[in-house]
Amino acid sequence: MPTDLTQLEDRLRAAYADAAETVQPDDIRPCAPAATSPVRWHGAARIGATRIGGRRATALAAAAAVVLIIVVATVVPVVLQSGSRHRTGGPGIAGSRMAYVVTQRDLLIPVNLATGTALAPIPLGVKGSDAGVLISPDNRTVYVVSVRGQLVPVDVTTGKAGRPIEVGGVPAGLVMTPGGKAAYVLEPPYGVVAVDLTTRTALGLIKIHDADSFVLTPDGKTLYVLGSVATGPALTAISTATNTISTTIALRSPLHGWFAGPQSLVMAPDGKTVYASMQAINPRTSRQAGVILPVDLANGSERKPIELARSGSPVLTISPDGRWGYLAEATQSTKAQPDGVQQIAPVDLRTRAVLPWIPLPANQNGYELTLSPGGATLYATAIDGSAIVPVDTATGTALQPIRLRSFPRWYQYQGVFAPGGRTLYVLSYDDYPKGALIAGRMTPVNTATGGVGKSIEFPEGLNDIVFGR
Amino acid sequence: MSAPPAIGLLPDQHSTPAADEVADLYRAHGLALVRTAMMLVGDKQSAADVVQDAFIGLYRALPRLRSTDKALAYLRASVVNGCRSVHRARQRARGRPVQHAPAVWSAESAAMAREESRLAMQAIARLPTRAREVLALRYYLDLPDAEIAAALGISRSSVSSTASRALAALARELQGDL
Repeated sequence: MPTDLTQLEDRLRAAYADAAETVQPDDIRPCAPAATSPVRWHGAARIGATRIGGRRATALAAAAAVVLIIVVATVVPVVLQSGSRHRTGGPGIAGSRMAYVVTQRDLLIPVNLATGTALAPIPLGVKGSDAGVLISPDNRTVYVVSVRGQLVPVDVTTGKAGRPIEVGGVPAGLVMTPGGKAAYVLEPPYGVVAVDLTTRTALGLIKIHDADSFVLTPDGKTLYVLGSVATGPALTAISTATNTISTTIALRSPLHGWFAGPQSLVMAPDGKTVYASMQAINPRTSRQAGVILPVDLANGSERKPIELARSGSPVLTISPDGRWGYLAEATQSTKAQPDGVQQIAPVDLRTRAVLPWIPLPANQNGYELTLSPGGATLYATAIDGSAIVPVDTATGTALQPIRLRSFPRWYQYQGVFAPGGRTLYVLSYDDYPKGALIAGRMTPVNTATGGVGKSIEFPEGLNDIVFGR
Repeated sequence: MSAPPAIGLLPDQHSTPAADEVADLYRAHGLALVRTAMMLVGDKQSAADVVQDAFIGLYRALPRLRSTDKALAYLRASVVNGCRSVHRARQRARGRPVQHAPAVWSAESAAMAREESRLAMQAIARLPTRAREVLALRYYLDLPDAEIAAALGISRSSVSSTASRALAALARELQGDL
């Protein structure tokens, strides 16, 4: 225990002062707003899930690249050596019982889900963290796009990475048409690059101003990209048959008099509605609110917005029948609940009514929701939690938490269902990094029994994962 | 994911040039806010991004703020929210650490020369988000609990209890060093 509180406080002040010294006046930018130049919605790029300005993205990517080169040169041989000691079996296994993990070390690691073992890594042959990973419908090829603008096809039956397809830019997302013949790479803030996967050729950039995020219709015929026009955010439709823009829908402000910035796009399962999640700020009161704007794709019209309790990440998880949406939110502070209450908000997407909330365990943050494939159970994962909370969507009640003993060693950040919908894999990262590496792990949860299996750990990090179909 | 708000222009917004006022605030508080943000997110680039977004938000909001006295409080709240968004984004980014520079207190960074301070900052970095926010506002910006409460959108009692828990945790963590 502290010898003295004052001593501790002095040390903290000194530490903060030292940390502050690392930022000098020369490090900060000139004041951005200028009276003569109206501030426009600046395109927010997304690397992984981090949204940053386009030029910032380039600068950061360059900085990241330098760090990565140093790290790769010094640590990869060691990691590969240590990794190969306890990894048996070679690559070349494909199928629905496989998963493929992209690491921080530019490796693709096949994982045998039947045995819970990570197999020998496949070097991707390119540098730079990945911005997306997908698998072909025949389970033979995994595509990894790097933030350095290369799309790498990996033949997982032979365990060999093919020649990278140069897509350029700083990619931030990857989608594939259902047949696996075409892919689209998000290149914020410039647009999307279409790729012919049959010839492995990048077809070029489809320009969309301030391109920020995208979503493909279930039939793969139309790609919707969130960008902007002069009046603010806009949704642009691209025909995947011709790779041309078919229409652009300008989005209005969801709440009159509030500022609103788009956060994400979610497509309804029937492909008829897109939900644009936004964070809105009332500039008079500084009150913030999550808002979801449904856009009817048949006629390009907006419907009445769904207003939520407060700011946060109003990302909808939609039931397979498209009837319900679920969000994890915290309520506004009240006298009784000064810190608000973490809850799940079920939303009736027909009436856009937010139903009575389902409370979640307090003192945890950053809840993520994963819906079981049938839509019967919702699993809430708190980033600083040690358990996941199943919620019965029929009754709206939280069930007995499933203990994973994650926190404080591991931050559990996402749940993903393996094909079949029986096993939920909870992905976590190590909060105590060793060197430049942040280890990752995936923990299987049998959703029928609530049993927790042995975690598979990835000392090389767990950037991304895709399951065999 | 959540992110620093990418602010959209509303059709009903009348642009009121408030650049001078914003520039004055930036000159007076920009550096301290970037430093505060850096203590919450770990690296200068992300911190500068957060603060820039906060000032852009202020520029838009200024004509509608009831009092310019509220501008600094607005900025602090925006910066804290922006830093939370950065963390949420990173947490949701499936562990991509190379998307941002290592924290200035990390072993990979040589930015902090004094080992004692670096260890203290590392210990702080392991605290929950709210605790880190409270400590930075209290021990770097020297804000009273009422202003910390306003910036974080929580009650004063929460500020006090969070700080107490955080100090107790740090005392345990740094026991050998004190």
